[in-house]
Amino acid sequence: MKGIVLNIQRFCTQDGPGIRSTVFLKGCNLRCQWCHNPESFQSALQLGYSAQKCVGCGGCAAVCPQGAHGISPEKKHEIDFKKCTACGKCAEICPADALRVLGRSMEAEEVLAELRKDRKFYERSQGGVTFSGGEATVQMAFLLELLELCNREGFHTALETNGAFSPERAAILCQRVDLFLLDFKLGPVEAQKKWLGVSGLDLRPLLEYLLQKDKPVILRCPIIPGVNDTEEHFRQIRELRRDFPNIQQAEIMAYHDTGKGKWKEIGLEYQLEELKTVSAPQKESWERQIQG
Amino acid sequence: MNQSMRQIRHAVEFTEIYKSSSDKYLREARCVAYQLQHILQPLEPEDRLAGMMRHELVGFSSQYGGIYTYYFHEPEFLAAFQDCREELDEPARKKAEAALEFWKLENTRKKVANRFIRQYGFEMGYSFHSAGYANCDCRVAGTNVDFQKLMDLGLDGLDREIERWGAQNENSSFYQALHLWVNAVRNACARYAREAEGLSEVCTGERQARFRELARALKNIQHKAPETFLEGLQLMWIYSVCSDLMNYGRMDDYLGDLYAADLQAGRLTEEEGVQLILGLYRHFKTIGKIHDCRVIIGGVGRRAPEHADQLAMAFMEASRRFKETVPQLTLRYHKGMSEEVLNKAFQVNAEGCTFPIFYSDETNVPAVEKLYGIPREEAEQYVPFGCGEYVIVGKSTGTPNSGVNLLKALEILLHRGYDKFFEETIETGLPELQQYSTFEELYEALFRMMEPTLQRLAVHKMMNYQVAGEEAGYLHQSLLMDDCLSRGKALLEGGVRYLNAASEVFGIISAADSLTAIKKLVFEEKRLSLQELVAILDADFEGHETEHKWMRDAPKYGNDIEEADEMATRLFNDVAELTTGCGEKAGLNRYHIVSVNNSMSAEWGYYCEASACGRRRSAAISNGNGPSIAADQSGITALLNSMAKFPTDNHAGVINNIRFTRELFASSFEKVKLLVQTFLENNGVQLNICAVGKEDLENAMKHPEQYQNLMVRIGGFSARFVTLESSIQREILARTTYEG
Repeated sequence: MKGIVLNIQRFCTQDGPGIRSTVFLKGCNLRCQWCHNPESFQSALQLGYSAQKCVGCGGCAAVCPQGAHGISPEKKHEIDFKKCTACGKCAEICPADALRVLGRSMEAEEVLAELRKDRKFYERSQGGVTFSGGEATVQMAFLLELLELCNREGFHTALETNGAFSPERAAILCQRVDLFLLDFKLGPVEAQKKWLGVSGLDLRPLLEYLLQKDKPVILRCPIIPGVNDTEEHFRQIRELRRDFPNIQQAEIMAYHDTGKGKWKEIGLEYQLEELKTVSAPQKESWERQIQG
Repeated sequence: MNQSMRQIRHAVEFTEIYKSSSDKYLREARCVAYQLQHILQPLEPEDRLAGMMRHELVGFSSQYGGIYTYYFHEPEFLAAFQDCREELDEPARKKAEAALEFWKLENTRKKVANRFIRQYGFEMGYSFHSAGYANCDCRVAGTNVDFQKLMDLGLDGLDREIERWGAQNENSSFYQALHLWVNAVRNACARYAREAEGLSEVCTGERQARFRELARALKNIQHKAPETFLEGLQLMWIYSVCSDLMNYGRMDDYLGDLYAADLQAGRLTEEEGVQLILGLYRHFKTIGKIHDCRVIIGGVGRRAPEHADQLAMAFMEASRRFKETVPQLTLRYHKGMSEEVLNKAFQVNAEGCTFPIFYSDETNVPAVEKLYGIPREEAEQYVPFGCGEYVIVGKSTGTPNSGVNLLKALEILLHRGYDKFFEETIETGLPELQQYSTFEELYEALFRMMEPTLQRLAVHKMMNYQVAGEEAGYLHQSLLMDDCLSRGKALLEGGVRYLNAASEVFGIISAADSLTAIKKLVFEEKRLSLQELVAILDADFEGHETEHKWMRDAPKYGNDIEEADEMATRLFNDVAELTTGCGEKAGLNRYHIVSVNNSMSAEWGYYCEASACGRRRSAAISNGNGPSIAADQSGITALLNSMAKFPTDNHAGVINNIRFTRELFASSFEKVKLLVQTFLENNGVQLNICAVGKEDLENAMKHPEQYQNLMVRIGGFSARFVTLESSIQREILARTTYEG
């Protein structure tokens, strides 16, 4: 079947053991305000626009069937993202590469063909394939097909996930995923609705199940200054590590602002404008806080 | 006496000695013996090893500065002569004038040019600063002599060898000249022994002891085979300096036993070993041959791998501390090699040294065996010299003397033989653009056009060897190259076992990407006619931004995309086959392409019009088997997969440049190591690693004073980034950096 793939990134060194390819599937069930991949919020294809690159030639306005592009006499480029259907006609002719379609509709077999290209690297390094997003489970049927294909190839599989899915899905995933990279963003008592766009997210039941099934977990902890850089949050991480021996390691994913520009590119407003990339010493201090 | 006067006197005396011998072997031996008395430089108080030389205006050398055998620097001679003319008396002036007229015609390069003109009626271009897509040079470069033989026999042993073979082959002037050559090296040792003794008398403490030891070593090696690491290193160096050799072969192999024995006996510590090597490195730096100066470590086919590995560690440590562009330390990788050596190699690279360069024995030994049709044990002795051309230690020549720019060739084809940049007609009788109805017709026309030129280059190469062979015996090489002594023949007169050569191709990937774009846009999708496309290139894309985007977006080599990679391998194979065939017709044993460019890929790019790969006029062209600049956008494994698709047994060397951030090395050391190992174990030939971030390069352009030690790997050599011309800096900056 077909799915919408945001990107297939090769030689990923941070998404599990060995040399890996990471498949980013489009679509997410959370709206984390610090997200550095906001182009993966929606599952459908969408237009990305880089204002710095635009030369104001107006070629896009001339070819757009929806009239989504407008160029003012001062060569200021306005896009009505609501009108846009991501047909890609503007991106095709944009001479400055300021416009691009984010996401690509691909057959599972097509994805597999890309993944196969690095087989020798996975095998030599005991690496494999990681699925990420967005939240990869949003395209569940596509994800399962991809996992099955990878299983058949003998690829080690990892799933990078926020854990916001049903126990039934957890059961199916456990059959096909070798390693879970589980994001711990905010505990159930923290302000989830404000920062994640949902509430009631609790990883403990999922972790219980994964423990039962003997599935290894790497806990990935985004730490955002002013949001979850609190002793309370670090305590929760320590407790999870203590309570679930299948957590092989917990990683601090310190906030960085490289995703800032992407929000604007797709016509969204970024709430954390003032926030700066976390310094290395700060990150190290957090790393110490989740030990023990 | 002032410098000019001294230079002119030297030239006159050298000329007289040259003229006084009718036998070319004895002439060479006497000329070299004479020049060594003058070109060797005094031992300095900081030196750890003896031996340094400075060329004169006329002399003998195998490859000095792109001129060779009997070389002559006419402009410099004229300048010096002008400078001291008034101080010379009439007879001296006359002699100088006579020497000038004599060497104008007698220098070997001129003789090659004349020979070529006699056959073809014109002279080949000698540089990329002139019109056309091909040029050639004169030299006998890079042959790696058998230093092991030197270590085993020592100078007296070599004399005995000469006598033995001379007796068997009816003693000739060739053998007599070889004795003279050995004696010239011995005299150089004696001279430096005296200087070392002199310095030991004026120095104190550690330095005094050091010069005493050096004097002892220099005395011993005048006769005996070396018995310590110092003696071995000194003998290798003095032989190289006297010969003007610039590539030093498998040093860990031929010096490993001496080094290990010293360590074992407590005569030397590892730190002292590193210090001695650093002493050698300082001499390398003074000579400054950044495109040569190869030192090879590791690999299969070494006599005592454990001893050699001990020394390999010391070489890497010295390179780590030295952080200079020389030597081009090269590690031959193979499965099952010492993990300690391998880790050290990655650690040194991770510090941004650009060394050691990796070569894969897994790939190259079987490839060299097949390519040259030689036994496995000979193939195991392959080494890349210079920018990376293969030779077999002690058994083959491999000079790359010609350059072919495939992107420029395509440009000239698309302009019906006209070099638009230089406004000169290069080829005639080519079809109008509208006559090409298929891509295949265009592709075939390119090769039809190039064939006669490539054939001339091969003939020129052969003449280069023939004329050099007629002029000299190349005694310093003949002595240490199979099978000169046993055959009684000099290197280039049937002595060397394999008379091989190479032709350097430039811009192969830029040309391939351009062909892919033309095939797709003109012949498959028919978005443009060929005339329209060429008009857009002539306008350097101005006013054709959308079409420029189409060309940029066409598939590019380096992304693991079949369409683009197939074109690259097809072009590579076809030019390889054509070149090999031209070599056979010219009478060379083996003549193969190499894709191992130095900074010339950026420099030659300046003279190239815009190309269909999307490259603008005068921008850099691709380097070696690296992608079109910054066209690799699919990750490092995709690039390495593309690089591993070429056949490995139809060329005499390629280079693959990759760049990582230092942060990636630091955070994912093991993964980077496994990445490189996987490549080298799966058809990868070699890898130049540059560990530096783009930000560092940008900052270095803005604040060069803070980045004096920033090293980059360009292609077939390394450089200090801040010393490069801005066009080359920009090209380096534009290359993709992988972050993981």
